Amino acid sequence: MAPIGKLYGHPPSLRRKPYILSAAAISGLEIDLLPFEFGVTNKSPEFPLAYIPTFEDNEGFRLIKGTTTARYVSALVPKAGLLGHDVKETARIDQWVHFAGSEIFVPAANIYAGMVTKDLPTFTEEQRKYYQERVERSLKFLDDHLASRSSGLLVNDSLTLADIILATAVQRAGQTVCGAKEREGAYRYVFAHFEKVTNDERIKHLFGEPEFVDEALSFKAE
Amino acid sequence: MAPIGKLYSARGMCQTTAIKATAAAAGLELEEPEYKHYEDNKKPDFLAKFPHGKIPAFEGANGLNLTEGAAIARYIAALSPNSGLLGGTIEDAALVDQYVHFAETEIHSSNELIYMMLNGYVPYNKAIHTVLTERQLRGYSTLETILLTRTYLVGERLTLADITIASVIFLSVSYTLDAPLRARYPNILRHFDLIINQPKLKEVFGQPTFVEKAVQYTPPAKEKKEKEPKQPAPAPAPKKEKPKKAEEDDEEDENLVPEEPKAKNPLDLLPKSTFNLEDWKRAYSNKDTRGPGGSLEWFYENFDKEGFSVYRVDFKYNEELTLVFMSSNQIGGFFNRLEASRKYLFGSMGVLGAANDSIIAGVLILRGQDVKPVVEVAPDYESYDYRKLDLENSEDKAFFEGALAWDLEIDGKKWQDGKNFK
Repeated sequence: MAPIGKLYGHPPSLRRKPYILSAAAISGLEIDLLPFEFGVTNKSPEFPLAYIPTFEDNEGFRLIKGTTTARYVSALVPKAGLLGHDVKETARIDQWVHFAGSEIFVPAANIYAGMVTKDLPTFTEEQRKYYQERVERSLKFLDDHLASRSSGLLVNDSLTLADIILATAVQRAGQTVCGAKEREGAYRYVFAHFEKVTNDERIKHLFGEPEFVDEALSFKAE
Repeated sequence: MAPIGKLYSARGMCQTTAIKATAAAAGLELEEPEYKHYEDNKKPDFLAKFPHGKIPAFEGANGLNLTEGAAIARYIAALSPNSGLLGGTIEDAALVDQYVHFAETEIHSSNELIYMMLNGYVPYNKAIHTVLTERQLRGYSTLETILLTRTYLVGERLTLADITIASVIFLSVSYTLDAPLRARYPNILRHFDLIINQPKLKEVFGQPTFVEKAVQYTPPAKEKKEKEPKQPAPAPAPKKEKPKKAEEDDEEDENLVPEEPKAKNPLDLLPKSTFNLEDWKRAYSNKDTRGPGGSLEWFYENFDKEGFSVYRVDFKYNEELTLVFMSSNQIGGFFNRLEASRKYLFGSMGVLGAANDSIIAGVLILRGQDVKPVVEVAPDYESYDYRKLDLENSEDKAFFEGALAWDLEIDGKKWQDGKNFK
């Protein structure tokens, strides 16, 4: 089957967040991954908006923003169920996608940038605490929700885009604020969800090693 | 026609404006019950429907309970396919999603975090404020480019994309998008004007407030260590629910937040020096640089080369420089980001040459013998090369003096404009 288009931005961006390719895999669609050199390819004239990843289909239709592209790919094959089966389900999926991004991924990613990749040179304990509390508040709410779901998935009984995007966000949480104790205890439903999604045969290979921390990250004597 | 549901929200949140405008454009009615944030969202019946306790929250007449402003707006748009608010095809819908997302992550998130810093919800940090402002500038600039060739963002009619962008800009013009900036982005303003004046939307948006100068930081009167607010003081203000960007795949991801290190600065632990940087800054400001009685003379009489050092600074990517005033602004930006090192640093840097054929160079006088601890507070410090100068060496000395006197010349390029960090 022919690829539906190509993706600029492989590997760094796509390796970090596999949701576009996961949506494609579940939908049975193929996307070409183009070689990409940061600072070179995205500064060339065909990249007016200079964002990665950029998706381009075979007719020249272009999209930026990872979650937007993943949603678009999901919309191409409604039967695959990634966006639910009716307007209500779709709305719920949109809600969880947004929640996963702003309430979990972003604060966890800030801690990751401050303490792991050191992209934030003056990251402090005060900051870490602030973001950690935000993530924890959201995880608790999420854990309660997932505990009530017989399928163990967010919206209905089969994998949706919300589950995929949440898994990526939760992965970041597991690399920063959730140590083994939290993953098996306070947030066990959240991490059971993560296991379930990332072990799905169709997308297992896209997630790779989770790289979870044993203990929540903290500032020891630096 | 019956309302489609109830919306719990606070006025002033741009998500609320977008939701209400979407409903108005779709010809759908929303009920807005009395709601007091920080009170009603703690009550059991609210939490039963919306356990996370955040707003905006939508209670559908059909039993659907939804949170996350963007999801609510999109749902309402989807309820009325004839309104065309999501475009006509899947591709158009994807473009609408893209712009909605762009508005949130590239523009609104900066508004929100700047707001939180300026109002004490998050510790204020000038370097971060500057970085956010610049990030937002990039967002505005991209938006301006997009709108150069379009009346509406997607297709030829109003969509959720236009409504969302207008809602974000409505907030921006009262806060960060000030008069000088607005002059640079006529197409953003043209689009904004078009959307907020659409007959169905006029009442929802109301009159915008245009700020003259971007809101600045006023330090609190009594210096108390700012605690991060778990429960921010009651304010009519936008409660953060989708703050930061950084959920994005842009490589410059995840670059905001922090705060001055609370830890003792190693530069304070150096042995006392006889050279007083503040006295130097005064001398430099009040005296002529060269000549008898000038600040250079004062410098050589007072400098302590054990306690302080002098460095030459060169921008690494001079081939990227274009207009002189823009390069000058770049120096200004760099100096802004060095704010945290004010006690340890003096700088004099300039643009030499001509448009599209220029270089940025200058000198720093800094505490200690190592430049790194002083300049690494600026996220972009690695864009410059640093070389320690030996003032006994005549070439180094001439360079130093030229940079201070603003008459430096390098390879035939003359000093055009300069900035001081003092």
